[in-house]
Amino acid sequence: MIRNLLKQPLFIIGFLFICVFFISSLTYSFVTHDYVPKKMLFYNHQGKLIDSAPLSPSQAPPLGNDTRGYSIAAMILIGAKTTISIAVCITVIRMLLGSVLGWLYGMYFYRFKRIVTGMLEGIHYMPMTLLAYLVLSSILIARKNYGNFQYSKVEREWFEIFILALIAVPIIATQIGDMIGETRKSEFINSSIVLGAGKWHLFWRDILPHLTPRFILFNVQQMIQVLVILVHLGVLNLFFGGTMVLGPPYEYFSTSNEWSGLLGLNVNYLMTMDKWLFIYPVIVFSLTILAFSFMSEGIKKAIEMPVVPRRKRKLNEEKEDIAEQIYAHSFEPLQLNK
Amino acid sequence: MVFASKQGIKFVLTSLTFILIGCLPGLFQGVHVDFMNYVNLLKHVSIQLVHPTYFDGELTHPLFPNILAPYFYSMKILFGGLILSLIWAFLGLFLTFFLPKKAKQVIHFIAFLGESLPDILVISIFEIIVIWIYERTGLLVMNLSQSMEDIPYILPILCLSFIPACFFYRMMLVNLKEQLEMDYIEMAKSKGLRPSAILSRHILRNMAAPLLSYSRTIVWMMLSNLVIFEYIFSSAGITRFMYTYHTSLVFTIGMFLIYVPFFIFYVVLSIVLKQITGREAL
Repeated sequence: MIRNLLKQPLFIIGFLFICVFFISSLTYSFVTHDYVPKKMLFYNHQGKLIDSAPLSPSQAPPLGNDTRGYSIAAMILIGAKTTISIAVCITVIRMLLGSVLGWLYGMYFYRFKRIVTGMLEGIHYMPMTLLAYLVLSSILIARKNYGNFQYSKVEREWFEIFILALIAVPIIATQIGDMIGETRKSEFINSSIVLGAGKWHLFWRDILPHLTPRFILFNVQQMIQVLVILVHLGVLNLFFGGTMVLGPPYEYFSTSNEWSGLLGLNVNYLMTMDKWLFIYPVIVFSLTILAFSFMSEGIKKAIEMPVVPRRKRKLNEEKEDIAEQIYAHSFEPLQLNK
Repeated sequence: MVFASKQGIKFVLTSLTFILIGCLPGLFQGVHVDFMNYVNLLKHVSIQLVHPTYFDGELTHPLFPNILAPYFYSMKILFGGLILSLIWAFLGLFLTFFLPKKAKQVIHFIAFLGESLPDILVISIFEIIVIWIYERTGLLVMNLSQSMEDIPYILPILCLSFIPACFFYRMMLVNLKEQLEMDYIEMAKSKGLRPSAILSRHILRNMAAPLLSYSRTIVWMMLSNLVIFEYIFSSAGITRFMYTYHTSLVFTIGMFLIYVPFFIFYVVLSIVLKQITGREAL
């Protein structure tokens, strides 16, 4: 599997992109301690004041400044590591809960398949973003007029992580359960049962090795969905860790420096002259999503590739060698009685 | 008869799950789980279902008929987007069917890029194009600040259909490849049927059932695209309504309203498919 994966250029591109981005984000924070360059005013060569923040990318390279004068590029870079780690965290919780429930469902309750899928029919019409917003908004949004947040930052963040993980668990559990249940119907499982395998053995030795590649693929796909839902919530003014509202007229502030806040705060600039405030973060976010999609596509192709175990290949080569030797010697005169 | 009762049970159960899920905010009292609160909210919402209302910050209004105008608008652009994306995908399929293999691979990759782009990027690019056209030519293709008399249809449908079209196209291409390798194609060819007849009469018929089940995933994705679309374009649609007045009651009724047309759509389609192909779809 891993050897096949390394042959997939798509996977390598995606993986390298994420790694380089993540590591550079870490390094930046480590070296500069999350320093964000600030530049409020822009002067031309004669020292004349031309413009004030938000400054365009040509005035404040590389990606421009926001209304408070902070560099967009630095904020994107600092936010990358937080965003990716939050997404990993949510994905891990989702997949852990989903696999345990899916294992129960696929191994023991698979005969109730029709009922389970029927019950979950409704979720397939539910925009997850709205559901998450409904549950989270009462805790994560604080209006300055009515006082501060009711809970501490750590509590709010863990609450959001758990809710975002939990709302996807039913779907993940049924999908993993279906995967296990379908595998149990295949022939090699039958032969294993005939040979006397118990349920425990069946799962760990037969089903799990068979499903591992698809499980990894599933993880990467969930990662994409988590990132998308985080950013969707950000656009709906629900930033990770909480939203501070001042007003009316309403102004929103993010309490953390990850991407959902960055995107959500700047979404209203899309229709103004200062489009870059929103467009550059969106492009970087899209590149990240694309990198994950490349990874998942690479894994998909690697699964489809035939797996040739290394030992077998060696055996085949040896066989070929022997065949060649026989062939090479077949035209020599036979030497009997040397 | 069995079919009808089965679908009826499914419909009722699904509607119940909407209430159960819509009341989930009641399960959390602050950050702690409080089950009694959930049950109370369930009772409260069930009683209110008879005369649903919503609160706009100052006054309480009855939900019907105020929710219906945004609802019908959203459904129009949603179904429009779904059908248009299918048309795009079929057009793409027919146009690229006879291309050489290299070109097909390139187009396949472009469709892959298209389907993996996040909706938020597609919607923003769309909005920038609309503004750019307006700046250059003074022609306002789509009214970005919506008033009641001038509601845009064409551009939202175009915008919503882009990502699903890529999904459908790629899915159909893979499916088509599988179908072409099957034995019945050889048989049809040897009987002397024209390729166009094989494609339209046999392959399409066999592709319909997987397409139908795949389209449900796409509908799910389109609904979450719709949320962001209606927010960014500030259009008066149902998801924006549900976002603005986010209570359990509005959520439950909104979800129910969204579910009904899709339920009818899929039941009708599966009956039609059964008539045509003789196979049970869904």
